[in-house]
Amino acid sequence: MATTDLASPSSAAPAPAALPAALSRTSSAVAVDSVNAPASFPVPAVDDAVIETVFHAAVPLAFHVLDAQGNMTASPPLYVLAPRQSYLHAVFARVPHAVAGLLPRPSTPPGDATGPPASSAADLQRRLVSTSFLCDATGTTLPWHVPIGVLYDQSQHPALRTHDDASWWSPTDGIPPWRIRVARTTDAPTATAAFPFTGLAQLESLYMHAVKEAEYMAFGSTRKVMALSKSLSEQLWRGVMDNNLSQVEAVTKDLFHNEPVARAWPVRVHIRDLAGTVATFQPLLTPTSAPEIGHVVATAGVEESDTSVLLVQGIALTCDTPMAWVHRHLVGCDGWVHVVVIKQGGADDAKTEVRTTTD
Amino acid sequence: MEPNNSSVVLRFHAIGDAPILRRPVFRVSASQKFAAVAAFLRRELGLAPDASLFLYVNQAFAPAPDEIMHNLDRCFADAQDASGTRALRVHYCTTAAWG
Repeated sequence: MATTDLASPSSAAPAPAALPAALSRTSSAVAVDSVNAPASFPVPAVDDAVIETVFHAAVPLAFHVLDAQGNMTASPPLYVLAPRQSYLHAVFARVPHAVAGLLPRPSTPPGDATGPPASSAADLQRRLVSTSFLCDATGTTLPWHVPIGVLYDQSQHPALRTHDDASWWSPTDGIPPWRIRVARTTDAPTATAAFPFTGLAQLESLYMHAVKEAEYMAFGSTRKVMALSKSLSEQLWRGVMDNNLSQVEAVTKDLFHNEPVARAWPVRVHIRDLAGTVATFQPLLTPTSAPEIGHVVATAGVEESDTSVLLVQGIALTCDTPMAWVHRHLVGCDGWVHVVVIKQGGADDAKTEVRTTTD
Repeated sequence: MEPNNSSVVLRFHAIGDAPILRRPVFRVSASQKFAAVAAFLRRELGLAPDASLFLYVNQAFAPAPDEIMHNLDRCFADAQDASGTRALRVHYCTTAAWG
């Protein structure tokens, strides 16, 4: 057998840990009362109001265009209330009239990142391909294939900031939007860019494969996704792009919720450590071995002592929340339950980081 | 072979007219991203940088390029032969096969 070292090694996955006790809730986040969530497995009572509220949840974003030197341009920021289920480039594609003049052109000289408005859909697509989105606080390139809500929870949960962190935003105006820098891909830090965005078709393909992977995880095959007609597949993607619950639910209900999970929970745990680094852990847990979300985060090596916030769809949960209820009500459009864990101490660390960048 | 936390065993399967590897089994670091596997396979096959190459796990789905091999191994690898060798099955082809 050949041994191939493809890159430098990094830290191994954390070892399984014992189930921690219930996590304390934070006053800054919406809390789901797990008492009202049914404890019996496998078929939870379905609360359509919760599903609808979660699906239509949105987060405030402020896009600032950078020039080739990485400085803010004179262009005013573009404020967008973006659906949690959507993606950064998809949001821009939905409002071409608003972003055409903001998107950088690949061939613009230094100091002139914007240029005239796009004249066609092809030109808009070309500009999107050459655009990267950077987190304002860290300067790192944001993974464009991760749902916006997951990115937001990882870096913008209220526990990670205070109003005075945002010197550009008046505290009287409420919680500031998440400031995101818009830059040319050639100017983005390549070390943190996972892989380049090549177009909305690539985003759709990655999305559909994420759905397949989730179904394989839950049921051991991708039979249902593969059996989808072309029109239903397109309807699903359109529903995500348009934030249309009826279009999405009509497809995903049959894919994920017509029968109980048979193999393992389709769950990804994103753990933000004290340094602000996010690592994704994907456990293989059957419904019987992990009936509550606390079992999931414990397997990811998260102890109660080093955990401050446990979020799914921006909602703070306690460890005793039944996974069957979470999977039915808080699953993402991609079929995955994205659990964001912000370790204790992450708030102070993040505040220091933001203050450093704004000084 | 016993699974461990530091490496992942990959077993490649060619589909259609894709070139066949002389040795189909490799071991890679568990901390690697799936993109590194694709780049490695592209080198092994001698494909041009702009040549199309599609990779699928368990003949079912294509992982995102930034997925960590340890996660894929934990969730999708299985024992495939009489010796019980645990490996992650990766099918590859030059034209899209499973969507």
